Amino acid sequence: MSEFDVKIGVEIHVQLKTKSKMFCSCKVDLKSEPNRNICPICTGQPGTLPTPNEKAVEYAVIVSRALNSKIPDFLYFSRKNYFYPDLPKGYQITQYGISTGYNGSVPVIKDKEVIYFPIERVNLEEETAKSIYVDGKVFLDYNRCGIPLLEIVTPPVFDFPDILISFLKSLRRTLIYLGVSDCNMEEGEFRVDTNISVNLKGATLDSRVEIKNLNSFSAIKESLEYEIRRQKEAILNNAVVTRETRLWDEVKKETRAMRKKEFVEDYRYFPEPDLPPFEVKKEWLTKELPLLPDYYFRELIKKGADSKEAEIIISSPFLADFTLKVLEKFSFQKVKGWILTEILQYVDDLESLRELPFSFTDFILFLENLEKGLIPRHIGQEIIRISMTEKVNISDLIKDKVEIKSASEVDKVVEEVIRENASVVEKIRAGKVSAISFLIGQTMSKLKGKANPKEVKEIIEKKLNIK
Amino acid sequence: MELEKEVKRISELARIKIEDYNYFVENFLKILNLFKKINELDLENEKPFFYLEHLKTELRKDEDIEFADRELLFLNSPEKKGNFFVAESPIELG
Ligand SMILES: [Zn+2]
Repeated sequence: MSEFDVKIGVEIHVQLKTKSKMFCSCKVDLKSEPNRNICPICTGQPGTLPTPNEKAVEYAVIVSRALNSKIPDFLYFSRKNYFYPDLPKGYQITQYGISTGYNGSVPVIKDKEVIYFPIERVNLEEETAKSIYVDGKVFLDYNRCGIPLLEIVTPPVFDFPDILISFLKSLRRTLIYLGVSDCNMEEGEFRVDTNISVNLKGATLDSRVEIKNLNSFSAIKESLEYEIRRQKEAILNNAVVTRETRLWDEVKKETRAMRKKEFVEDYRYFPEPDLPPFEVKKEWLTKELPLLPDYYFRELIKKGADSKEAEIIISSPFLADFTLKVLEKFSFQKVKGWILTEILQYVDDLESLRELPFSFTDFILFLENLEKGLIPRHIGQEIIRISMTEKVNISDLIKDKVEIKSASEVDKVVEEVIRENASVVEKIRAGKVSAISFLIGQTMSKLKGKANPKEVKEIIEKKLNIK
Repeated sequence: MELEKEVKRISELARIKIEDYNYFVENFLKILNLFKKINELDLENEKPFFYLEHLKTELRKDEDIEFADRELLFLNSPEKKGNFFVAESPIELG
């Protein structure tokens, strides 16, 4: 038993996939040249007024619903005052006191079960500008400033980095399935701040340390492991763990304290006077939600997948849907090798898999041909390889590859093979029946695989009068 | 005095350099005393009130519209380099 209590909570920031920004009509496009998509509103020019993007509010409500949160009848925004160049108004418009969603939960797959972790709140706010620090100066790109951002906050309920990672993966997957964000972590579309406190069991000291802006699962795990170790050591050495914000150094693999120059955080929130409350629309609350990953997970388990296999398949909403459609016709045992091994070996990034070069009906046809023996296994593998690497529909390849030779053609080739391999034939006649596979192989190779090996075997047996 | 501390703190947060604190303290006191009048009212059964009742936020359709005069926006910036706005860095890495 550990003598320490570890408590980890997270705050996740998710960029929403809207066409325009949260409070102005500037385009959301982070691939543009710096400061291409800016206007008087998102650069905080005096006298401008914000107008909220309806789609972003709808997305926030949809996410809140999917995370089983309570949603109030009215929403309003608040001002979080802080003077920082990445938000030139001098404040961020966010939610405080009221959230779009509160007291929610995220289903997390653990072994074969789905367990729920709590979400404290889902807030809608605006993104800050991208800052590049050079020699005491900061270079600012306001293309990012004002992009709709969700802030999802959990209570400190995680006691172990691994379970937190599973939680984050589930949450991220849910957001991707909802279509509200691509959650690309490298691009900063899904960023995580962790807060962690380590105490001796029973102690009530609050020495919360925050680690900001983690944008990979490995960084989250490594930084937490480092921080747990650092805080445990400090406690054992009777040193004080300061309540502070730290940054993760990816190169040195350590956290370091981050200091703001003479800057005290004191946000003095108040209701945003420029944006009076507005009603949560009924249509946002009643619109059907897309099927979510835990649904697919449960279905796959029901169909015979183990939890590892199911988790791989649900990492892409497209693949999950594709697989379940195929499973209406075939058993999981029959298709799992084809999907998990043959197809996925050609997929670099499973999560961003949004289509295959063939539809599920093409794939069902392929499987039917396999089952009838019309496509030998190795030809099937070849078809998948060409389809996946050259982006050709498998149905075209089946036509091309599997114009199976007619029985008379096969017959002719078998006779040829028998003639050319007299010594093998003798061995077979003498009782070494297993040598027949050599003749099958020779025949198949002469036919360039375009035959059914079962049929070839039968023809050889007939010709050699063995059964 | 409490109020002077508060004025100093707010000016620090807002990064406003104030020369004459007394001036602000005096004026804030006047404003605060005016607001103290509210305490004389009986507000026992009143809900907090932030906005005028008839005002409602109108939401905007999600359409992107380009702002034509970007160069104008740089004029309020202390410095510009290439396509970037440039300011003093507010953080220090320890
Ligand atoms: Zn704008």
